[in-house]
Order: sequence, then C-alpha cells, then structure tokens
Amino acid sequence: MMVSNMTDDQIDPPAMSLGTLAMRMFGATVAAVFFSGAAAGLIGALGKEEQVKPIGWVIMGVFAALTLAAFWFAWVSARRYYRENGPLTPRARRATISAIAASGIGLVMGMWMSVAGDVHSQPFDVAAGPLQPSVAAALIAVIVLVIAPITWFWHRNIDEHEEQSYRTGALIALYFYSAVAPIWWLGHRGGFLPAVDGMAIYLATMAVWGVVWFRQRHL
Amino acid sequence: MNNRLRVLRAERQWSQADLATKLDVSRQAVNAIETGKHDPSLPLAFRIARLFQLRIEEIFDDGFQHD
Repeated sequence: MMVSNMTDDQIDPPAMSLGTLAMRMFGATVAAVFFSGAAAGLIGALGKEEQVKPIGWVIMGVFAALTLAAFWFAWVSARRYYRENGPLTPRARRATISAIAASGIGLVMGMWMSVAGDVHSQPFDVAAGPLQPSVAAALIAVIVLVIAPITWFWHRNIDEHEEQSYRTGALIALYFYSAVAPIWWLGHRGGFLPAVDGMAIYLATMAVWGVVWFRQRHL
Repeated sequence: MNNRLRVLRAERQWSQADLATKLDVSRQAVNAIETGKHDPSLPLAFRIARLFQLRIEEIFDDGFQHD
C-alpha cells in the first residue's frame, strides 16, 4: 500500500473558512455604507455652497476612494475564498452562482422596496408601510417568475450534504414556527402580548432556518 | 459512522477538493463525511467505493461486531 509522506497542510492547505469570509463581507458592507453615506452627506452639504473649497473635494474624494476600497476588499476576499476552497465542481459552481444570483436579486428587491416605501408624509416602515400597487405587483412577479425558478435550479444542483443541512434547518424552523405562532396568538388573546405580527414570525423563522443550515453545512 | 476516507485520500495525495471533484460533490461534503458529521447516502457510498476500488465495508465502519 502506498504511504504518503505529505503533511496535512500539504494535502489540505489551510483555506479561508466561510465564517471568515462572512466577517470580511460584513465589515466591507458596513464600511461601504458608512463611507458612501459620508460622501453623500458631504455632497449634499457642499451643494448648498456657491463655491466649494478644494479641501471639500479632497475629503469627498477620500470618502469615495474608501468606499471603492471596501468593495475591492470584498472582491479580493471572495476571490481568495474560492481560490483556496476550490476548484468548484461544475455542479457546485452552478449551485453557487444561482444562490448568488438569488441573493443579488433579493438585495435589489429590498432596496427597491425601501425606496418605493419611503413616503415623506409617513414614518418610514420597510416591513409594513404602504407600497404602490404597481411596485407590489412587480415584486410579487419577480418572486414567482424569477426567484422560484432559480430556487428550483439551485435545488437541482446542490449535493446531498447541502440538502440534508437545508432539510434539518427547515425542520427546526418548522418546529420554531409551530411553537412561536400559537404562543404569540394565545398571549394576545390573553391580553399580555401585542397583536401577532406575521412578518416578524416569518423573518424569525427564516433566521432560525439560516442559522441551522449554516451550522450544519459549514461548522 | 467511522470511515477511512481521509487515510485513503492521503495515500493518493488528493486534497479534499480533488476528491470532491471526482465524486461531484462539494468540498464541504467531503469534509463532513471524513469528520463523521454526515453519513453518505448509499449511492454516494457506492461511488466512493468504486473510486477507491474497495468494498463499502472496507471504507465505512458502523461499529457492528460479528460474533
């Protein structure tokens, strides 16, 4: 029998974990939001002045550069993660691309919903504020016609470990929902809890599902 | 369930990513099987056995002792 002289690090070189990538992405997102917000605020303030001082342009340029640096950091981190954890099989690549596509579309939908729901005469409420019927119909159409097929495609391409992680998460999330929804409903009927917020329960259920999936899949 | 997957892989100097490619699963799946966190399905166990040209019970051990 052939015996390998390679060390563990040579056979399995240390690779960036998904947790590290998630932390880096979170940091890059926070930095991008902060610096782009600062740049936007500065542009608004400078726009009120007749003549902008050179130092104003310099500070604005620094904020813009820091925003781009945050995006660059996210891009470099993602490339390093896939270089060190790859190569992806064609099947895994298809599943990853479809998951990224669905996440990107979800992000755009969330931003669109936030902008469309931000009515000046009313307090900002991204979860339950009114939406224009056309916007709501368009978002529903995207869910049915775009997100659903992508989800089906993703399920066709994940491996059995991912599927089991997903199912375990779904089962625990179902138990969570089955407990929280009636408890809240009974508490409201008993007069010591506010009215049941279906969207809050939905989001909490999704969060439980996601956390369990992540733990099963990556930890 | 205990298994010899990591040893068999190391003998052939394959990384987890190499084995994942040969089995058409993700690297995370290989890692989960090697560490005993995931028991492969029967079809995947057969694919693994065929790849290493061994019987399934020569790779996986459920701890059952014959009298």
